[in-house]
Formats: sequence, C-alpha cells, structure tokens
Amino acid sequence: MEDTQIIELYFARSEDAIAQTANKYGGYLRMIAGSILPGREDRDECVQDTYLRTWETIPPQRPQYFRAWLGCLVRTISISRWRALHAVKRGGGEYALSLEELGECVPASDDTAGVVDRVTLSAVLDRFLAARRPIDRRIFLQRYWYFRPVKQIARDCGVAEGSVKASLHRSRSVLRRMLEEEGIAL
Amino acid sequence: MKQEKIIDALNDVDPEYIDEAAPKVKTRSRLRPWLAMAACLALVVGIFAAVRLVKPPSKPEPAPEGPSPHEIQDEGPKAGQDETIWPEPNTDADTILGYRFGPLYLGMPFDDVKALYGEPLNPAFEAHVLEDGIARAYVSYKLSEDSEQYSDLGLDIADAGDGWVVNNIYLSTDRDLDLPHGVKIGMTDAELHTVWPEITEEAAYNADAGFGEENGIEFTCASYSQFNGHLGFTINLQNGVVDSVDLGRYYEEPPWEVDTPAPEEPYSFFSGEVTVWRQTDAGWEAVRPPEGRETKQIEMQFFIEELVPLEQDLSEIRYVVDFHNDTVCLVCAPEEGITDGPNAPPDAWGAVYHLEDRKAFEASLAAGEAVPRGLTCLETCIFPYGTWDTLNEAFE
Repeated sequence: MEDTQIIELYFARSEDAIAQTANKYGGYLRMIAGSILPGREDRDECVQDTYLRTWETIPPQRPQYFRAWLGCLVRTISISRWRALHAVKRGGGEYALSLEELGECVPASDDTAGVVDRVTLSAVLDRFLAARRPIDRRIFLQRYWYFRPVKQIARDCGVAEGSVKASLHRSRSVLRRMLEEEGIAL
Repeated sequence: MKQEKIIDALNDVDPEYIDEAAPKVKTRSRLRPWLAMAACLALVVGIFAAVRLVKPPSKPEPAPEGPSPHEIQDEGPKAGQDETIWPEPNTDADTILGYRFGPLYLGMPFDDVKALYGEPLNPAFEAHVLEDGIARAYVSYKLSEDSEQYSDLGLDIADAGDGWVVNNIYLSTDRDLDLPHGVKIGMTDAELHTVWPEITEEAAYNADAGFGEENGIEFTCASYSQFNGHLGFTINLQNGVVDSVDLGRYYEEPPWEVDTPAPEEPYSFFSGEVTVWRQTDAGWEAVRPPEGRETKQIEMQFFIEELVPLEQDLSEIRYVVDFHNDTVCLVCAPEEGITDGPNAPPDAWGAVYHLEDRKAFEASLAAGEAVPRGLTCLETCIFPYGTWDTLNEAFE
C-alpha cells in the first residue's frame, strides 16, 4: 500500500491504518528502536508507543516522507527511553558508542561565541550533510541517526569496514571544523 | 551531554536524507501462521507435527548489467529505488567462481570448512531467511595465533535448502593460504604488481577507498576489484599494503523490499472492539475496555510481534480475548519452559481461533465452561512478551 493511502486511512480514522503501518514499516521501526535499546521489551514498547503516537498525531499532521517521519518518532521515543534507563545505570547498545564517537565533533567552548539552539544546529547539520558525498552522508546517518554497528553499515553500503571507519572519521573532522568556523558551542 | 545535542538536532535534518540513508531491513517470514494452521490440523488427527517450508535450491544467477558503481556514489540512492545496481563486469563469472583462498571456495559445503578448521568462534550463529527463501548467516575463525584480531577469517554462509555453503569469504591473516594470482596478505602494492603484472588492466582500482585513524595511527585505504554482478574478488590495501581479501557472493542478495506486503493472515487483532474474559471461581468475568487508546493497546499487544508457533495442548485457560471480528484468543498463564528463546522469560501462551458460532461461544462462557465452544483452532502459539501483564492490567 502506498504511503499516501496509509495516511488517508489515518485521516479516515480507520482501524486498518496502524495494521498497514506495522505491516509495511514494522521491521524498520524495530530496527531503529533495537539499535538504541538493547532490551527486546523496551524496544517493543517503543515501537508500540510509536504506533499510538502516530494515531494521535495524524491528523492533523500529514507527513511528506512517511517512513522518515515514523523513524523520527521511534528514534525520539527510544532515545528518551534510553536516557531514562541510563539514569539508573542500565542501557548500552550502539547509541552509547555513537555518543562517545560524536565527542570528537564537539568544539572547545572557549573558541566559540555562544551556546547554540537546536534550530541553528540543525541548519548547520543540514548544510554539513548536503556537502558530504552521498555515500559519506549515508554512512554518517546510518551511524548517528540509525545507530547501526560499523559492520552492518559496511555490508549495507557494500564497502569494507575500514572504509566505513575512515568515512566516519573524516565526517566527524569536517563537522567539528564546520561548527568551529560557525562559532558554535554546544 | 553535548554530543546529545547533535543526536537530537539530527532529528530535524532534511527527511529526504533520512529516507535515502535507511538501512536495508530484513523482513521476517510471514509463513508461520499457515504452518501453524497445518499443525492445528495435524492436532485433530492426533499428530503433533513440525512443518517447515524450504524453497528448492537455487544456483547463482547470471550477473545483470547496469551502471558503474561510481554512479551509485555520485548520485546516491533515492527513496524507493531498487538498490541492486551492479557495475559493468570487468571479468567473467567463472573466473571468480574458480578462485580459491587456499582450500576455501565459493559454494564450498560448510561441513567441509568445519572439517578443516573446526567449529567457528560463533558456533551458535544466528541465521536470517531473506525474501528469496535462502537462509544466511555469518561465522568467523581465527586462523593466525599471533594476530591481535579477534577473528581473521569471516565467512558468510548460505543455505538454499541443500545445506550450508560458503557464500562470501573475507580473509585478513597472513597465514600461508594460496590466493588468486599469488597475492599475499602483507605484500606491498609494488609486490602486488610483480606477482600480478596485469592487475591494473584486469581489476578496477579505487585509490580513494578511504582513510582514517586506528589506535592513533593514520591509514589510507585503496582496493583492486574484479567483479561480475554479485560476484567479486577484492584486494584491500591499507597504507599501500595488502590488508585483506574478499571473495563473494555466491548467491545474489535479494533486492531490498520493505514495501512487499505480507500474505494476509487468517485472523486479525484489529476491530476497535475488544472483550476480555477472565476466569474466576464464580465463572467468567468480562471487561470491555473503552474504545480508543485502551482497546488499541490490547490489539497492538497481540499484533506487535509474530506469534511463535507452539506444539502443546492448552492447559487451564485463564483469559479469553474476543476481538469482535471472528478472532478469539484463549490465553494460558506463563509457564516455565514455554518461552520465545533460551533467554526469554515465559509469558502468556495459548491459541488463536476462528469464531464459528457466537451464540455457542457466549453461552458456554455464561455457563462457566472451562473451554469455550464454537471455535476452530488456527494456531497454537506463544503470544508477544507483555501479553500477560496487559491482560491483567485490563481488569485494574
């Protein structure tokens, strides 16, 4: 079923909307939640919450990129869950590793003018991504948006693991430089 | 944490980038309900049978033609695009299928590998069945004792119905294995040209395969590749030294098909109405959660994971869930040993039924009968984890 048809089901308040969403994107959502949360129970609850939030949000929203929109939702819910778990010393998974790696991107705060808001930071990230080669952008987002292990990224993109590490290293360096040049502190 | 600001801000970037970067998702088989129906039928005649459908063995497909790999990198994959785009072949398939890494070759029975090297480092490997019906798994070995690597031989293995065979070989040890063209792990680029003078004519060279830093040491990456569709032989170099070689794949990877609809189930947990019956000393007590979120939570709980088929007679039925669309579930309490895996905790289990006779069904519940009537079994199964708690909460 096409995304637009599924969204119409939500607008029609059809019970089939969630079933069709889960049928088409259930695996995608479990993959994202599972990359952030190591526990199956947590993962499944986050995916379930995503379906419920989708039901509550459409309408009035009408996402243009439905898959990415769902992905954003499950990612936000899963990260919130991870943070709650992490606060009581549980958790782990690729999300924690990705956080450590991104430490390389954080500019020294005394070199920068002021603390940035999320909108500005997203705009910089958009420009950064637009400037990357498609393959590097894909690798970067698979690592830090989807939180995929390097080995799986390598297989997915059809390149060697070393190439993935190299691409990530290069992207982090470029991002750090961009943030510094724009005078952005985090 | 400052890094978390980047993680959070990434949620607001152009969704087209997110869509195009979406990883390939392996879909789970949706055949199990049908197999379970067959199992239920077998129950009727007193036979408990395990049935597993396996597709007939398939051979490697001939390589299709398509644009060069650089076109993929230059343009990037677009949302919804079939990503199986193969480069123009620069060698013939038989050449690659004829290559050997010492005794290893594509299509080699995995049992023969084990006869040579023993059990892999991950003997209980996890297998995935993709859309083409072929099971795939990854195993690894450590051939070189003095290497600091955890493993130095990685094998993708595949089973198309006639046993596991080698699907891809990744080797990164200098252990003395004869490689195609006399290539050796650890030889320099110049030495590579000496043993294989025609390499630049016969293999595509990628000088900018990447660079990076590992353990504080910077490195550059390059590669030579011979390929023909899904078949390829690649020599990877780091800092001008052969670092690893890769040979595969024996079977073509199926295209990424997250959009493929699953076969229609013989039952449905979605109707917008649910009645849950609980067994008490006085008979069956019913609760009907309000339509909307509470009902949907119960529907979602049953739907969220594929049901795990189970071959077991039902014990005491504790809950009856009527979805008001001719689907009814009979639910038994968690029991030790009935789990969805060796480390999974036990949870609700039971069976899914088709409601044939609503009058008989409701009358039997009203009469307090232990097993409701008017039902035909579709599948005996373990329900998704959390079902037991969800049903208990329905009465709170």
